[in-house]
Amino acid sequence: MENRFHVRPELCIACKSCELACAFTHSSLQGQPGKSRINIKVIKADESRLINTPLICLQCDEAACATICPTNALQWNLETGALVHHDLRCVRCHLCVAACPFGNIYFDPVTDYPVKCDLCDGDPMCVKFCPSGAITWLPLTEAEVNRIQPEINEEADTD
Amino acid sequence: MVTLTINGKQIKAPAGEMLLETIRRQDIEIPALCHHAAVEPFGACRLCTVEITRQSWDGWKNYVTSCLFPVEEGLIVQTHSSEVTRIRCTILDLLLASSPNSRVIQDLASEYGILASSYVVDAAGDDCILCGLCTRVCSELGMNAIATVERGRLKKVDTPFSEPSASCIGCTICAQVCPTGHIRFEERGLKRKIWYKEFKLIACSECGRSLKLTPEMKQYFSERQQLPEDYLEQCADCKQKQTVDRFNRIIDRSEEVI
Ligand code: SF4
Ligand code: SF4
Ligand code: SF4
Ligand code: FES
Repeated sequence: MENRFHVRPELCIACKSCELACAFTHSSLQGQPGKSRINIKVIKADESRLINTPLICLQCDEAACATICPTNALQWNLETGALVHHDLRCVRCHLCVAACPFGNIYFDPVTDYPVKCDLCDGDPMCVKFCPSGAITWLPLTEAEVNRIQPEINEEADTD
Repeated sequence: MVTLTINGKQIKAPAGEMLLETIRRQDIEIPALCHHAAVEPFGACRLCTVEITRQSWDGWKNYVTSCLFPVEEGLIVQTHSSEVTRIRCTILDLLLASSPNSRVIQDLASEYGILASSYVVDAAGDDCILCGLCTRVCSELGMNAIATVERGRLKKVDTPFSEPSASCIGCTICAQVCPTGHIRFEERGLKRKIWYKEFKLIACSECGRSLKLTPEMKQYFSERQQLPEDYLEQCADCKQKQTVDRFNRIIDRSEEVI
């Protein structure tokens, strides 16, 4: 079954374990940690409340980054469902970075190539290291139900 | 899938794949200066030469440029035999004579034990090895702004008449793929200069930082790749902030529903 990320900002405690897990999984040159593909953004909702939002590539079906890339450096891995960036095909034009509407592809300053989430070969490490359940990796149907019908979910929880 | 032997090891590779790709997948390092996966292989530098033979060849061997040679069933490949090394050394010796100041060539030559060229060194030789990767990328992507001009010793890569070219969109892709770093460009703030031509860079519509795109690139590639131009207006940081806001508005709204 195909899986999807299910992200719940209200559960995120901004510990950034996911960012570390990602950076170490994608080590760049000489084993240095790479740039994390997941980003925890903390914003002030009001005077008393902070919201922590995990941001990660959602592998758009019609991905703007892949559409704009003139060398086809962004290709689907059909086994994992990830849209993967291939350094070898990339000519560093920066078009993909400007094209992604969510800011989920950007350059790693060490390698000077764009990086994006590749779903860790189908087994996302950020999810494994998230202690609070803010990012989970669920079968498509389940993630979908949670996403579009939060009220049903909420009722089921209070039962 | 075909089965072949590389340096004594049996390997499977997808039919039609070029030998160079198969070799690299085995983590075997061979130099390949004029190769880039974004464009068709061309076989200009000859450094990726390897030795091939077959059981049926009775000891006969052949030398082929692996970037241009598709894998075949039963092929027996040596990537570093003494003859292959000799061929590569000759090429590097020549390259070192014509581009004596190139760090890339110096380093590669010294890896093969060549510290000084045995040919007459062209002290004024620039770093361009005339591999044509820049011109191929520029023309395969449809811009066609640069080409090799002149002949013989004067041959070089340039725009027509060494003048700013109307076809150049200032993408710097030629410079990005050049294996020796011969093509230079200047970039300061929102200004970029390449091939005698000055470009303004697009600033993020939110924060003003450079998107590292010229308006010419925006127009050209959005049309070529069929993505509306207004996708290409903001930097990743600003878009992340907007995504967070949007995300949280959606969540707030769904809480209201409850
Ligand atoms: S930077 Fe690389 S991946 Fe991004 S659009 Fe350009 S060639 Fe494609
Ligand atoms: S910068 Fe100009 S010459 Fe270089 S690849 Fe782009 S269009 Fe071609
Ligand atoms: S400028 Fe660079 S890419 Fe172009 S032919 Fe010379 S060495 Fe090759
Ligand atoms: S990489 Fe094969 S000939 Fe240059």
